[in-house]
Amino acid sequence: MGFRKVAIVGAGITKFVRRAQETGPEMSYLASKMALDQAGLKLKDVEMVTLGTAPDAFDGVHMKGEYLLSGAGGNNKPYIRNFVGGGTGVFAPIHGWMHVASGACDVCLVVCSEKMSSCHPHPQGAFLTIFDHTTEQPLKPTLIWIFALEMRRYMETYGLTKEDIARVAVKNKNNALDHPSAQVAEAVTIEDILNSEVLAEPVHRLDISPASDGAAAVVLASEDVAKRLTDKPVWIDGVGWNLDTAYWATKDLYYPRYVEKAARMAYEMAGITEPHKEIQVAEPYDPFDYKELHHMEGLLLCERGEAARLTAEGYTARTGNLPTCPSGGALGVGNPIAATGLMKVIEIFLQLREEAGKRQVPGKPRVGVAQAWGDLMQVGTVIVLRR
Amino acid sequence: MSFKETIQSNIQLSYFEGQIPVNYQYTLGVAGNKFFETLKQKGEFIASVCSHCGVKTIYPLIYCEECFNPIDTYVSIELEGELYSFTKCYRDYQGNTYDEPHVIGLIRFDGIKGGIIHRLNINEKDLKLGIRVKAKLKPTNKRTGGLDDIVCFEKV
Ligand SMILES: [Zn+2]
Repeated sequence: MGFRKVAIVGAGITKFVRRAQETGPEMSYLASKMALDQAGLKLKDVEMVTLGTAPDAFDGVHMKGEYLLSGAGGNNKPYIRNFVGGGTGVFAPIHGWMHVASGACDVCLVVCSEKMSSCHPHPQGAFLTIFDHTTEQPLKPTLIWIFALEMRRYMETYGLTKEDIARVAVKNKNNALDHPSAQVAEAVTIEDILNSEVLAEPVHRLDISPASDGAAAVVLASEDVAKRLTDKPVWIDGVGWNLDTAYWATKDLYYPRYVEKAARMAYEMAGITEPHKEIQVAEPYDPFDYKELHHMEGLLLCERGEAARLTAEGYTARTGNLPTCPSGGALGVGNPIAATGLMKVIEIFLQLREEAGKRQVPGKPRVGVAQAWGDLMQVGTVIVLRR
Repeated sequence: MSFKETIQSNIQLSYFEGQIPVNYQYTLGVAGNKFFETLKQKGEFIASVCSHCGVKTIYPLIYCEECFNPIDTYVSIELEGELYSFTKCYRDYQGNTYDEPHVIGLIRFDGIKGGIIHRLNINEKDLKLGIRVKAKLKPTNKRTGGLDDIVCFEKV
């Protein structure tokens, strides 16, 4: 399609924690510096910078892109902030890909940073205003209850139990025990999940990822530069993104069509025709445990309604046929919104380079997919990586 | 039990207080105004109807999301619909526990795209997806032209 080849040549990620002493710009710096060091580059080698971060209201700073600029290495460079809610963390590297694939530059730094803990007493208060001010806000909605509506419809459609769903949280929180950045890694069992507090039926506290502070960054390079910098470039083979209406009550709630559309866009670019056979490791977005199942189906990694059974059979375990969230995902590593998606892209990058340490999936994977999702059940962002 | 890090509150770090000192006055919009005026005056729900592709939508819109043509037709619809999903919520958006759990549902209307999210007042044993429910409205003289003109939805 006339795009230049683009590789990831370096990555950095901070610890994810409930409350960081570091400010947003400080966290951005730590992740950016790690990514540049791994790539063997200095800031002067970076031509353009793109930054992903979620709502301004988390920080109470109404120029968040500019606020984070210097920590993200953007001073006096072509720099821009991007934002598609929870989908931002995978959209940011897509945005960086546009910069390099188009020929606008050879080296682009992509930074995602989120500090949710400034928002007091809880960032749910900031989420209140994503709902329609006339038809929803008077009910004082929370994100948890709209996901409860979606989860119930998904369970009912395919006859799933809470145990079926909880297996995802068990897998991911256990996987996260091997992730150095993890905030809520724990050797939990299905009983632990089901015995945790009910927040909004059928959602329990441990079905949900936590609010977090954290940052992540990658360096993208054009083909010539990437081959000079590393023997192990990981190529961005396909990108896709898609948004559906904010009138979320119009949707069927059991199938994320916008994720499928984003996935098909990315697969077509990557020449993937049978994703369930060709993709060897996946990081579907898992802010809630049922969302991983939802997204496996939307990513066409299995038939609709099959994801829970495959999970129960160990198909998605680290040693299974198609490991999902080997990082530990948002459920185990934590969920600093924009940084979470980029953490997932970085996990696929590390897996394909066989540098994931104890998290490494067997079989020398060559092709992986990362996906994020967000706003009012309406955003899908997908990236296919190949070594 | 799941949170391992030791810092549980910003007051364990150096911090300062801040706020965004603004309030908002949202207009209802052209279609929203029609919906809530009709609800207030006549005690009816209206849907928008696209004359190009026939799609009916609630809450009504002034444009068609399917074919992107303008809409100028609105029809009254039944206050009765189907319970598409529901949840029983125990905490508010600031994390405080409710005195009584709030039961919230998504109600769909026959042949119409979209739906209404609202409180349910239905016995636990009857709460199932697919049951028929109907809006209970405030009496005419108490209605103000807003979402709270609907008290709740009840089982038919
Ligand atoms: Zn139409």
